[in-house]
Amino acid sequence: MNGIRLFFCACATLLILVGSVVQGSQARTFEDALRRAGQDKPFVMFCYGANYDDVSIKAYETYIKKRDKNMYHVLSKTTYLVVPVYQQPNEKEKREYERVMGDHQLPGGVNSIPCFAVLDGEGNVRGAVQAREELDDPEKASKALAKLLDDFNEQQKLLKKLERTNGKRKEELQREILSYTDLKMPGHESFDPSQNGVVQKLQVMEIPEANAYIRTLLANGSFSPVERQMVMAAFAGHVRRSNGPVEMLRALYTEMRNIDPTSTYGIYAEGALELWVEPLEKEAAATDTEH
Amino acid sequence: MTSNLCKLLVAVVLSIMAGFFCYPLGEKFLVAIKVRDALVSKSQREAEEARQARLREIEAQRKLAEADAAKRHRGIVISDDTANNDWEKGFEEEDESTSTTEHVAQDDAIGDEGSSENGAELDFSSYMLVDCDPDLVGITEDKEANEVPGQTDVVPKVMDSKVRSANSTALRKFAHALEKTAKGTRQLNAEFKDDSWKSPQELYKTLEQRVLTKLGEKPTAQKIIEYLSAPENRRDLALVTLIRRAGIQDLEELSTQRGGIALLNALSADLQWLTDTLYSGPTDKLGKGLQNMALIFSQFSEDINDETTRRIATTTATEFAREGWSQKDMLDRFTYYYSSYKEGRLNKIFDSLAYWETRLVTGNRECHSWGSPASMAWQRDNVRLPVEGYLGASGQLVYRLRNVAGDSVFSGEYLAPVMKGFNNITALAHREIGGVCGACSHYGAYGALAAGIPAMTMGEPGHCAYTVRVGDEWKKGYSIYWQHSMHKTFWNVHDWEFLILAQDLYTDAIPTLMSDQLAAMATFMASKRMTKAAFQCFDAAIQAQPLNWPVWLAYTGFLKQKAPQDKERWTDLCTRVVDTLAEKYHNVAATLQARYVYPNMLPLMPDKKERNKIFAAFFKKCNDFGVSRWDITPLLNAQFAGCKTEAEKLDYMKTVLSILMTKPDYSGPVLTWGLETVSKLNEETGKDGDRFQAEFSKLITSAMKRMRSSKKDTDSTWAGLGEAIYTAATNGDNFTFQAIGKLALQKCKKNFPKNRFKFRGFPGRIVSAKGSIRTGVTLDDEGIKQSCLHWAVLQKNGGAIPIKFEGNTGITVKLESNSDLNGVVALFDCPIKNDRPFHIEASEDGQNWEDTEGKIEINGSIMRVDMRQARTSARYVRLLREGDKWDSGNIVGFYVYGKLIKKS
Repeated sequence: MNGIRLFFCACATLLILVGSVVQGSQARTFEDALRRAGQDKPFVMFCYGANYDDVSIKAYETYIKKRDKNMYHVLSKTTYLVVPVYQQPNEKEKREYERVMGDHQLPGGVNSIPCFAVLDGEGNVRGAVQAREELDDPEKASKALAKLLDDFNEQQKLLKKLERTNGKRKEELQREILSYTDLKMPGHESFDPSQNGVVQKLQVMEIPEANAYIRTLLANGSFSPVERQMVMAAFAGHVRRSNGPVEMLRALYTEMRNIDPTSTYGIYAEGALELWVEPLEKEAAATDTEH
Repeated sequence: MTSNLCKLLVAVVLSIMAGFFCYPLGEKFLVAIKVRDALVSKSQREAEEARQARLREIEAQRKLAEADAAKRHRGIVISDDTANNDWEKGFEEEDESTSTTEHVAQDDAIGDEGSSENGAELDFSSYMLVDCDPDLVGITEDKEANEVPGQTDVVPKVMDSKVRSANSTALRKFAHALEKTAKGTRQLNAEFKDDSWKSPQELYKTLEQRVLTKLGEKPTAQKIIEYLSAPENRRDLALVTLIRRAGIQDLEELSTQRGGIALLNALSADLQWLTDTLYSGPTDKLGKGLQNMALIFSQFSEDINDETTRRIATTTATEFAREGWSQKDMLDRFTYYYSSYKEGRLNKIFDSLAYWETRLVTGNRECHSWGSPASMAWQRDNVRLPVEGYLGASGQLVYRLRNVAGDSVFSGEYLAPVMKGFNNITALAHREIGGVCGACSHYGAYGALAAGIPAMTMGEPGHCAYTVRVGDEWKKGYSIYWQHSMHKTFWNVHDWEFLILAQDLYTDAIPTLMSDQLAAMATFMASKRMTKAAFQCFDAAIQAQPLNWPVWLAYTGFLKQKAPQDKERWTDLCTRVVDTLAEKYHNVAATLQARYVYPNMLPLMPDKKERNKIFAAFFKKCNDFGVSRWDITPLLNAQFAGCKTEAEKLDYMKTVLSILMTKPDYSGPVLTWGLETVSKLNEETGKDGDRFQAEFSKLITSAMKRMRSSKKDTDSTWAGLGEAIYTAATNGDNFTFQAIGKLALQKCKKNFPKNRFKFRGFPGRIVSAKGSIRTGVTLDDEGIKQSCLHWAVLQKNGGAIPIKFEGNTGITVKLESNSDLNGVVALFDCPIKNDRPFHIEASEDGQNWEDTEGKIEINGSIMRVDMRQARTSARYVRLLREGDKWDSGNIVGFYVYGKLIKKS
């Protein structure tokens, strides 16, 4: 009798253990995922087009059904949720979606499906792996997701510190938080010179005055690298339109590019050098030769 | 307890052992997966390499073909294009409502040219969209042979109900036959192939003879419908139509082109493909379209039998030919959709699109920026969404009028620095740098188009929006206004309702196909000078599918040519439009009447009562806006144009106002139209206009009383008056602005605020109270409904007018008359931010402005501008602010103080 009990007990334990391995940390519902994430932890939402998209189906098969090793390694360390997204869903499909998401809409920030979105415990999308060049290559996708998750954790640590800090250090921390360009930070809007009045103010300034204004702004304010590039773009634009000295333009765009050549405004600066600065320099050189 | 612990321990040990034994199995499984993946990726790599190599080869072949074509067709192609352009010009002139006398003169000329080649076809083709290029250069017609006793130039009487009823029975049988064919086989005997196509002229003659012989001497509509029920006969008609539309010269060129004969062989043996090519939208420049198709299939010959590839190729080729876009762009577009389809990267919706829908996708309008292969491929891979998701995709862009560097979106500098770095991907550049409504809407629409979903951008007053087809419904994205001008059209009419009409028309596939084929037969009959049969065919075509806009146009054009003075026919046509189209598609019916029917019919109808009765019949169909809100002005203008004397005009207005002012949807627009018409008359006729305006004012006053002001209708009255007062402000019509404002106060008193402002004014009277005010904000529908509050802004209790200060836009007031200004008081609904300076400018004419240099004081939400030092006199005053930043909020009171300058 005891043997039978022991056998059943062993089977049950085995099932539990195997089940926990198979399930990994997959949440069944959105609410469940939010609960598991709590205040500080992220969770991953894999969204795929379940009835309209071959690319999604392929991604689902690769990453979820067949459990790509690299991705599974990343997912097993966090909570994740698989969300089937339906196009013009029928009743059955609506129920299927509701079973996972309840009455939640797909959160904003998902620009493309399939994707691995990283969400915080409040359901905000903070970052996502959704570009084709990443998703087509499981190794790249898993690395990108792992980086997002690591950055998320680092950012959360900084946020914790931020709560306990004041003054100059607080500004520095804010800048550091916003320096994770692949992660959005709800409630922390980036400084945008076109929306924050910098561009308007520059319009009526002479170049020396504008230079002083921008340098003071950059010295006193707290800016992430991207914000710094944007402020410099605003100033450089003003110098260009005011036919300012070409040396100043080169210096500005070079500095802007060197902050991060791969970022959007790094690329912008590189393009500006080629498009606007080099022709002016050639023109100046030709004039010098003539003289 | 201990025993339980022991049991658990044993269980754990057992599970570990199980895991130990299972592990190698798992490893083996993983290894197997790895091997399989490696094989799959290898095969994928090979396939990709092969595809790339093929694309390279295609590119090289295309360049060769282009160079070759340029050598061979230099001269020929140019002259052909010129011919097409001439034809288009002819149609555009018709759009501008060419005068009847011009057409009569044209008819006479045709009569004289009766013996010339194709004389009978040339004229009415100008109005025919169904058969757009019947200029069959090279086909010689024997006039004598085409004389058909009892048929030629005989305009039959209007069909009576018995005949139409008999036609209806025949049409039901025809529909049944078409459904049967659709389910059954589509391939027919490849009777016409190879050598036949080398001489399309001979082939045309053979086919023409066969069609005429089978139809007999005096074909009636019923006989023709019965004839079309047989697939072979439909094929014959389709081939005749194909040759007529493509033109002999283009077909001859095609037969010498690589892959040309193969294409024609395959096309002529497949009735379904032939039908899809000919009857899924307009086929202008079909000859060029077929040459495009041959170019595609010469490079993708193994796919000529693949249904989807055929669909992509046919629609891309015909649309690019129709739009006059280059073969290089055409091949790029085809390659994009072809490779995306083959790689399974398009939305599933694309797989089941019909030809007409696919034309909207593959024929999307931007070849080099948003619609370039690079930009579309990027959107396809990075903006993948379910169809509904594209309606919100515009939100992925940051709205920036000026980019962070301060360059305007309307300048080339906005994106220039990043384009190279982003590989000229327009969508990516805008997503990173930003854009305004145009870029946001293109991003949304082209996201859908890149995935193979029908979508298009559309213009709205001062705005750009877009629409995406979700299911069978066109849904609007980023839209703020009811008026849309579609950027992709089949029939060169840009109104929203025509898109809905196209959707409904082609969804109702069988009747549309019957109608198209009957219209094709009508055109053929007309070309053979069998006028009677042609009329009967047109009649039956409309009966089969009253939504077929191009058939209405073709019939109207034909009627205009053959029986311009036949009042009975024109009246019958007008009545049929009202009975069939006007029921649901008010705008479509109104456009047809206003552009094509009234200009021909009204001159034949001198009795004003008869005319007014016809107009009233139309309005009775319009209880609400129907499919969507539409602009009733062109219809009213066309009707009004038929009135010659002042008495007739007043009588007409009385009729219109008495009917439409009782309909909540129409009361505002008709009032606005009336006001504009009278103000125009006033300008044109001077003192007489004043008298007329006085008469009209009485009419308006009595008509306004008809505007329902019950609780239920207050909203629609408020909206109607709001729209009218907005128009009056835009026109700078102070008289009307004030009249409507006062009326609104009477009718909808509760909607006005009862503020009691406290502020310090200036000496003199308020010279703005009897003026008008307008804002630089592009108002949406809801905003326009509230426009009566703008009038209240000038009154003592205040109102609300939204503000936007951007460049030269701000708040503009037209004063009662020229005045010496002492000062301005502007009351805002929130404390005024003083971060950017304000300016008050003044003008005598509303065009040339000068800064008044008034002294500005800001105190909370009150702004006072003292202008006593400046000694300014002006008729217009405007408030501006430096910079382009968006300001939200309202001005609730605006008062200009001064002294009216007496006229010397």
